[in-house]
Amino acid sequence: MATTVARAGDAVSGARGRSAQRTRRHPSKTRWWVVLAFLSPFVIGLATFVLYPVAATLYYSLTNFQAGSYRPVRFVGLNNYRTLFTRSDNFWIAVRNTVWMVVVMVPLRTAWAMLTAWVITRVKRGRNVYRTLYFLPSMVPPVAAALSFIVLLNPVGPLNRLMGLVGIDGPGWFSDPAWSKPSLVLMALWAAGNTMVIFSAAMLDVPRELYEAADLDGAGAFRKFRSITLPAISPVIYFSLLTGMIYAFQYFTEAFVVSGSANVEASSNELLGYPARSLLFYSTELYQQGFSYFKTGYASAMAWLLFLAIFAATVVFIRVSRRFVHYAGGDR
Amino acid sequence: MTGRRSAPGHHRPPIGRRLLYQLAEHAPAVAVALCFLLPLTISVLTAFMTQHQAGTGSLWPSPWDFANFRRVFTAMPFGRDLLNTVLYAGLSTIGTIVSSVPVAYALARLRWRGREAFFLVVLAAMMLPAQVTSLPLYVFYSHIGWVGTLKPLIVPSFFGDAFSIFLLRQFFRTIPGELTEAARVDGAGELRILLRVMIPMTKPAIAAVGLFSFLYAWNDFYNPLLYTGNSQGGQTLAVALTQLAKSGHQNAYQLQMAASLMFLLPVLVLFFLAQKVFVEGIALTGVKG
Amino acid sequence: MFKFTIGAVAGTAAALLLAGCTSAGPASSGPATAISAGASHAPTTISVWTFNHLPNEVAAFTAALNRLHAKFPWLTVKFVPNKDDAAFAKAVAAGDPPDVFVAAAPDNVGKFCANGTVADLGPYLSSAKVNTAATFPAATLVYTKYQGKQCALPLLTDAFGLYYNKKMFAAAGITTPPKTLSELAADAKKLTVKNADGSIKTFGFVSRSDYNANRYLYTGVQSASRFYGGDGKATFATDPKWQQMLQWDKNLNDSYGPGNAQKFVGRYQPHADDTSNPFLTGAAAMEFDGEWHIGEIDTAKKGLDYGVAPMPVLDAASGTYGAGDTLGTVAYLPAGSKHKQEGFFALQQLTTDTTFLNTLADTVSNIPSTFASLQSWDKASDAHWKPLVDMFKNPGSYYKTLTPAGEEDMDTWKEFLLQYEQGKVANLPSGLTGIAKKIDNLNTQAGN
Repeated sequence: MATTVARAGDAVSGARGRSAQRTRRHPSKTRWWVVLAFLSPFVIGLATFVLYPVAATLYYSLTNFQAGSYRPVRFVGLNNYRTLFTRSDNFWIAVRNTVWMVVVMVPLRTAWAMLTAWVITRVKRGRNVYRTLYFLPSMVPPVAAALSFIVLLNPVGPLNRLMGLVGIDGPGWFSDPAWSKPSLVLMALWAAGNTMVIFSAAMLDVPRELYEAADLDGAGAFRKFRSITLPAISPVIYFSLLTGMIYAFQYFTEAFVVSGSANVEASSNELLGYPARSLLFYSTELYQQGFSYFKTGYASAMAWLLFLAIFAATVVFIRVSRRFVHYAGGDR
Repeated sequence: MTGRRSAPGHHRPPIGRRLLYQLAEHAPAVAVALCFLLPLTISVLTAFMTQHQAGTGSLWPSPWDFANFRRVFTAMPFGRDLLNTVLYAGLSTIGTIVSSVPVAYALARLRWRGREAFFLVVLAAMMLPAQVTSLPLYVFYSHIGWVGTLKPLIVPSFFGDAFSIFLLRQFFRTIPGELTEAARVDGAGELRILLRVMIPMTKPAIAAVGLFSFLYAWNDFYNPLLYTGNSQGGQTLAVALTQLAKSGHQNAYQLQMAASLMFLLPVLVLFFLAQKVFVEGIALTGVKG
Repeated sequence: MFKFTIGAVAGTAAALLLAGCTSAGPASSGPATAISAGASHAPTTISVWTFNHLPNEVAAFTAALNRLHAKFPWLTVKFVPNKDDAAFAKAVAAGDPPDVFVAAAPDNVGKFCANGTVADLGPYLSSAKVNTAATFPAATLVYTKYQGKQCALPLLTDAFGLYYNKKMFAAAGITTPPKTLSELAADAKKLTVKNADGSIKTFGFVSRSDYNANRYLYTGVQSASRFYGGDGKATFATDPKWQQMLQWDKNLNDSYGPGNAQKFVGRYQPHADDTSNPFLTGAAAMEFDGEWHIGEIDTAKKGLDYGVAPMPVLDAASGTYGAGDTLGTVAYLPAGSKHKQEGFFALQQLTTDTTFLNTLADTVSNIPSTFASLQSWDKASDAHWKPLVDMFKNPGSYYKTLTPAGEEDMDTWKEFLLQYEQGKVANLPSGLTGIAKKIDNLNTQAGN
């Protein structure tokens, strides 16, 4: 649901500018009860499903609350946070794995979307067919995609068989702690079609004359990419990195399905994150603490930290990238 | 996007050379296409394998076992889970549209103090991860006896969805203000303007938002896992598929794949029917807004 | 307008916050007394959840419950298979637990007992005049009790042993199964067969803790160590045998050459319980597993010539050979059940009914868990079963002490084992001290 954050900042600034104009033209205001009538369902929803839970999570995080247990709830101050930082390796492993995904998966996915978009723009006839083919996997529900990849990447399965035909001894993929995260990255690349669509649209929007002029100047392929293509697609890169980052922070479904299903023993007493906690991500650890062990207070502390981390990372990202993004339309 | 033809007037190279050009043009694209198609191909083939063959590295079914699709219905209550998924996706889509359109309209077209601040709240709500709110919501829903039913999945959508509100607002702003202003001068109430002027003009946009929220619910794993993953009657397909994977110590890959394909099929049909809405909608979520 | 919004929001939030935090006590459902079997009773429907999910297991359960219903027509059971501990905990948190829950392993008995999730069966048992010590073998009471409270009853039980391929033993000139871990390692080396290209065709024995049931090798039984000492603290730092045990484990796995043990686990862990199991395919000459493996071999590869023996023990503890890990399926009476008396009635019938226990034991290839059912069980003298059944008579057999941290202590220990096996623990003694402290902390935290 985070797909539009990239535009969030622009939309706000745009809103300010344009509404200021309109206010000057039409100073009349809508009557308050009309506005309220339009907003009321959402205001109630916001209170119930957003503000209350956020406040309650903060409150829970300061207690030893265990949903379902009959022992009395006690206020424990910052104990849960202290435990997280100093006593839990699961927490730090989950943080490390999640950061790994942010740092490795997100840029690779962006680069792959860019590359496949470029491949498409090179084709003159049948471009739409390719685009549909590349886009299709991104429509596959994440659960179905994960199950497909478990079959494909089975250590004794089809891909290793194919690789065996050309003499490569394939790895254990999801069963090997060293390969499990890279396998998830493969899956993310496979489903990068929606970003690819945006990239290819941006690339095709670049006026052809610019390239022709560069050709006349004798510019090489790299120069042309650097000074024509890159500026044109930089907003897309920005968008893809930012939404990818927010998504990676909450990475859950694929990890949950893969570590649960690739391991038959998982039905009892098995940690999420199989193999060897290499797939223990922040959200899966939070789920495990909150909804398997039912340490509600402890998990609430994790939830709050996640909220803060996403918020902080987003602010930093927007600040830093402001310098690199080029908006052709003068939107900024 | 129209394919740009190469400039006319070039003299045509001999046929052999032309084939070579064609090859050079298409080879990378075909290679990438093969990468994209491999997992799906394997899934389809596995769905037709026998229990004995599936998961062994066999590439081609022999013999072809067409009964897997039928077996899915006995291995899991597929029909009931499908119904639940349709209920969740369908009702939450209706709820999202009905409740989000007025809010987006108020943000795009009505003038009131605090509008920009309110819009910031919408943006913040949009960024909030589900994990942050689910602990208290779980406790809350269990108090009122909703856990195990589809209610925690459907009911909240009737109270507005931040993402949809944001998208719709962006769409509504592209409609020239003169049109709504004219209706207002004619003495039409705001509700009437919304229903008679705004909605008819933004039907494709509303359809895109509807599609997105339908797909979101159809694919959703986290919320159904939390609220109905444990119940007998409230399972949705996304969660039920993963539990099919675990039923029994034996991996039943062929059944999983058959069930996954049946789960995927409606999405693909939807995609081919509404390809244009999709691609335009995706462009709109991105930088092309 | 905006101010109004904030006011409304704050008001609602405060109201909900208050509603959300009142923790209701367990539902009371009559006194903690047993229903007598002969008395008439109002018709009642109760729900029974189990972890079992294989079709034959479900069929055995359903048959038993039907017999129960025929015997006591007032009692109808709604049977729900395929529920693990996490699903049960979720149902409890949602305020709607089943009336009886059968869990695959006892790891959470301590936790559920300490936080009041399940009822103490003591009052019901004494009211029903069930003498637990005379009904259930002592080894099964170890893992169903927590701090004197009988919080669960055993429903079938498990024992772990060494499976070995007799044909491969003969070919390697080995006449008797190993009794100590160094003998095991020596035999494993003899049994390991390489392909022409240097890769390994048959592994003698892979002891990696993340393969199949191997985690139970490291609970202390194999080295006559106690997981927790008399003071309730983990003994990894104080009992030097842990260190010997782990070094043995690492040396054995490293002897296959770099990366080979990892490859084995990666390749076969997803198939530990199906027909591609390496012991069945000949990719492993020995394997450590629970008694259900006998059943798996019977269905998947009838002709396999194999033997079962107690798991060898650390040389420093050689006197305890014959003991093994004994733990099993447990049945709980959830404290939040609305039909506790009826739930206990069903629970008592299931856990003590000889016919049911023997039928189910045969179906799921487990060991019956009462003296009476063990007595009348035809498999007890079978050559494959006997060494495992005998473990229950061995005073050295046990399962690690249960704590309020539930399964988390074992999970934490297992992750440490794996790190060590992968060479990520540079200094074993200080690593063991660290992990002992961590587990002690976990227990203190959970006890609060």
